[in-house]
Amino acid sequence: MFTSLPFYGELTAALLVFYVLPGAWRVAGLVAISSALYLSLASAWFWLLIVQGLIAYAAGIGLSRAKSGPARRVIVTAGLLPVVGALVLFKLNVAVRGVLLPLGISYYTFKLISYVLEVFWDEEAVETRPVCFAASVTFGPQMISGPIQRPLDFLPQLARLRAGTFDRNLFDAGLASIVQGLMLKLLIGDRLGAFIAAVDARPADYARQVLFVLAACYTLQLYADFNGYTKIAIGIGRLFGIESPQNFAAPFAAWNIQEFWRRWHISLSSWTADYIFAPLRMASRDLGQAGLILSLSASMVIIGLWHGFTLPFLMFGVLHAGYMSVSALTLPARQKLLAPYRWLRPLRAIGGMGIVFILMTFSQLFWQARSIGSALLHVRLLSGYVPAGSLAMSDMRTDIAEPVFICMAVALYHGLGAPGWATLAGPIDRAVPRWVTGGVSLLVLSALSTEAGSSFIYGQF
Amino acid sequence: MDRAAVIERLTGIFRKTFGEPGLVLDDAMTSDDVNAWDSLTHINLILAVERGFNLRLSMRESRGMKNVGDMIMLLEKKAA
Repeated sequence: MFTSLPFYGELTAALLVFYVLPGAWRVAGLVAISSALYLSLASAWFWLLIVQGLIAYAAGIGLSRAKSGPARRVIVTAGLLPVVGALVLFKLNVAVRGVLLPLGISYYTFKLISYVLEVFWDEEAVETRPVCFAASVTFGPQMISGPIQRPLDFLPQLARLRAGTFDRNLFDAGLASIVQGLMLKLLIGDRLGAFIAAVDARPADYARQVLFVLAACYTLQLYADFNGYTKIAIGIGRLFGIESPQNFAAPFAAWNIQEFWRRWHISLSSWTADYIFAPLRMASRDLGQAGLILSLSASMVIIGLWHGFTLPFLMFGVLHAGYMSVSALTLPARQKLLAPYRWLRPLRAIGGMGIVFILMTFSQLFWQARSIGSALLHVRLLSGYVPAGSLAMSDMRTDIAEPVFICMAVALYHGLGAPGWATLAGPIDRAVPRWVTGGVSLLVLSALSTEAGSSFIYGQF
Repeated sequence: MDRAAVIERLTGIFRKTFGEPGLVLDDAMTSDDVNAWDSLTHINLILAVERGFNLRLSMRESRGMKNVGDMIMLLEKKAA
């Protein structure tokens, strides 16, 4: 949706209404705009969003007033059970019956869980104003693809809206983020997506070299697609005066898998770190290293299942549970062993980044597969266990095959944090007015976008 | 336990947990000020504090500390 032209017409109209409103009405205006967006996309499920929000809101009020420990535990359970239960039931329904998930449920449910737990741990975190709470839960730009912004991070920002000011710098940063996101998604992600779709239609016909390129594309395309879409969402949020959390921080520059998860889908991985890993680790502190493995594994399996209750997603979670456990158990010893050899650092960096990319890509064979069977077919073809086909890149449609390597290189460079880019582009950025760079970017975007209709991977969750 | 003793013991725990031998604590210090301090290492810190001071912290206490000053105050109260 964020990539269609009519959407930007509607967004402009919404922004005009929003900024005409006096400060005192802007939070309510934001709720109305977000609600209108939700109703236009999934009116059948709006009631669920309201009910879930009301339950969490009531739990927050209850927790802030409850005096005794047992009463607080009853309220937190009563608040979390229906919210988590609905998510689990709907995910099960999707897995069994193949129906669509209520729009945004994975994202807003995690926001609500975060809120209830935060108030449980610190009653001062409560939000008593229903309109502010509703603004946080329904916030439109984050509804389709996240990022999962915790209400405690969102709510203080509403003071900026109530002040009725217009933050020019934030607005400009929003536009820049939207353009950057569109470029990443449409110019890179969609092109890699076309290549993936073509090979995936009959993987057994292609030569092994093509299948290796395909596997690397799984990781790179997901990065370009998801980070691109997130950047657009963050940008739109900024236009309304809200700063959302970043979801990616140069993930391919990570030296080990633990660092990778601090840089990849950050709003989800930090959520599980705080609300799954931390409580479990505290509860299992007497189990020593076994407690660490248990807590880490539960967090990673939940990250996998958050995407859907399917065997491939479960396998993705189990693989990362294994990676993380081995890494957590061996990292201190590895660091101690290698620390004296400073000359090894560049090799460790390149080797570490390479291993992390391979580990992620192997798990992507499952993440991207419709079934365990098709994932295992890929593994067998790649390992040479089953003879691969003979089709080469040169046998593919040229408009699909030609841009693949350049798009892979751009996605990888971006995912490494674009080293050297600031030095290179900084002077140009300072010398050229922003409307020129913005205009040129849009021109490039319209000239180079693929014509195919654009879908978005993380929209389905 | 008095404040000076808490700070001395806590400094040792911080230095070991985050691998920074020169780390000096101050009340306003938060996770933003220490490179290796994130959600995961925070739990390592809490567990190391429990061992170092021979006490137990609840999830509520662990989350309630907004900075090092809060941690010192809590330990002053809880540590024997």
